[in-house]
Amino acid sequence: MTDERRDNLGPDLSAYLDGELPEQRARDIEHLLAQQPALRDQLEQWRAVSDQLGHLPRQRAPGELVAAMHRAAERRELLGPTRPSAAQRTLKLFVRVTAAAAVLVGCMLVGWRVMRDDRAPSVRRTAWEQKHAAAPATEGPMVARGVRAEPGTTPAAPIVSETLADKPAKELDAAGPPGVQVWVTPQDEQQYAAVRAALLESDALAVGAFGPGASATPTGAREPADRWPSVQVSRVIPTAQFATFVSEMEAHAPGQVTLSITLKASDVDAWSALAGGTSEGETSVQAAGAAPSSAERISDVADARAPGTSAKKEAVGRPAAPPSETLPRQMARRGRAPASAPVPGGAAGMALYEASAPDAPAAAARADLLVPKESAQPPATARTEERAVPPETEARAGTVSRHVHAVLRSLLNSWEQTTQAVTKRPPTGVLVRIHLLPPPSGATTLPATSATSVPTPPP
Amino acid sequence: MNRHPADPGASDVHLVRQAQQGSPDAFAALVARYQDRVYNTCYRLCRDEAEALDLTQTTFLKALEALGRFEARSSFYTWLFRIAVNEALSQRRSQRRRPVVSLDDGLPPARHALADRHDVSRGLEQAELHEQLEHALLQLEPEFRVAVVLKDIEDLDYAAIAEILQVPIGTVKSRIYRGRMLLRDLLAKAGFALDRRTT
Repeated sequence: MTDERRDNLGPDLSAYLDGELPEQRARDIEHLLAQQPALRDQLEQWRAVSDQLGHLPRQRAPGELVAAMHRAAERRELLGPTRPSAAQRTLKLFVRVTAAAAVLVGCMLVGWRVMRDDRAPSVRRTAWEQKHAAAPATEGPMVARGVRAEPGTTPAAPIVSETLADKPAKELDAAGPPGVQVWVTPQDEQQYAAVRAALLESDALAVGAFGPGASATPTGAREPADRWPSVQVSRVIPTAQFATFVSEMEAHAPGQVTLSITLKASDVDAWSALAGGTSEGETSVQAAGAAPSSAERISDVADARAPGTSAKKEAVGRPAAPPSETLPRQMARRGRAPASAPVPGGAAGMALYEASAPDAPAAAARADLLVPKESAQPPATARTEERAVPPETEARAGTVSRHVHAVLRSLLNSWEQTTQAVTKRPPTGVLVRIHLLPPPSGATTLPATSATSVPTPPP
Repeated sequence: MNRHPADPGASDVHLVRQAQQGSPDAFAALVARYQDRVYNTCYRLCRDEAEALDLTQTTFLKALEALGRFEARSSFYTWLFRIAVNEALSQRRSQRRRPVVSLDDGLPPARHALADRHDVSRGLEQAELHEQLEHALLQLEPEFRVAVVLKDIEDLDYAAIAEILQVPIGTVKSRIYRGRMLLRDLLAKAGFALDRRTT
């Protein structure tokens, strides 16, 4: 036997077991097996391992998977693939080329500056300039860096360096597709398990992501609470059922449901309607009473979010509004949303809203600034009738505040109108993303009976 | 012949073609046909029901997105399994930082020695062996585990496994051999000496 064949004996023996050897080599192996009992034992051990693996109980996929995938295929057929359009791809390419060119020019400028400083000490920066150049950069992309001021004076206020047209469309997309994001933050294990079970039992489940912390050791030890799995589910919910859905979530985790509603327009007119800044927009969005008109107001809105009632509309279509901290940025800081702030991009725009249930009376007064009491009733000037929410839905609302319902109704109206204006057909549902976040620190273990317990070994 | 997607006799090629033309029913039929195999494979790779479900759904959603680019150079199930395995491996890679439980720490002690196995019921013995085997499988490096699962659990031939893993057949042979060796050693360490009598 050659060395090579001897080295391959193990793999070949294994392949012989699987009937994957050429005829000649199989005969060689049979010859060896007849001569060497130890080899026969080894083969039998592997055969036993292989047989036992083949006899492990087969796991079956949940029954609803087919229906969910059918809906996904239907949705794809109706709405088209999520692949970016040719225009988006062109824009992306343009942005990349521009960015590369900008980096190149920047490097050249820096190099030139360094060389000039080396050669001409007289033009080096003053002490004031050096001090302020060394200071940490001001936070946020909305602030122009390298603000200049005369030595001995206070530096000038940050300059808002971006305008409507500066923001590429891809940053708009970073905030997610139009739809409603529902954030649920249970306060304890029981709430977590209840909400999670409710999400999983839903027959509208389209996409579920459980991870990445969904883990348990074979001994049953659990990971710390901060590594609990978060649950992210995408669903398409008929608009008429949306309030019911929110009510259910609210029933499981009272006061811990937050909505972030994203409406996206594809042209300036639709954007204007969304932003509520024109007469066309004086419909449902204005009816919510949540339209801030100044930078200060936006800051107030952002600050008022937790823990009480708030309803926000971030009027990102207003060029004169430099928010101190945008809603997505706030949410990103809490680990909840992409960090990029949505800023309208001229030919496209986006409006973000957030609403949560009240649980602190102290916050109510401030919230009233944002959601006037009368907004619970449709204003007489509203051009369209509010879409009716069934009485039973209202009855089931339970702990969901009237404010939130009023805002929801208005936003859903706006959603429908805008969608109809843009797509020329009414929407059939709302794309809803539900994010179930782990409870805050305090609880350290999952209950043994929770839906995320260690998989029971098959009998 | 134009078969209806619900027809169980409809071939994969036929269903794929219909799904590519936008038939949700055809795609659902493909899902129904392969969901258990994909789910079982994912479960054997991660041994977590929720994670397996997630992987299965992701696999089918990615397949749906990429269906238009599927050119039937390989069989549909090979293509589907490639997506599933890639997803599973990439997920495991991202979880590498999680603590690894050694076989010594994780496996429940073998209560029955070979000598007194005849005294316990065969069902219990099998159940325990399966339990140990599943634990041992989880201890393998992902590349060996995938090869063993595809061969010994999904009963795919070496050529199909090579196509799924995008490696030469010789590599598949070597990985299966190494995987079986390690499994045998791990089981022996846990008190199971496998031979034909065990099965």
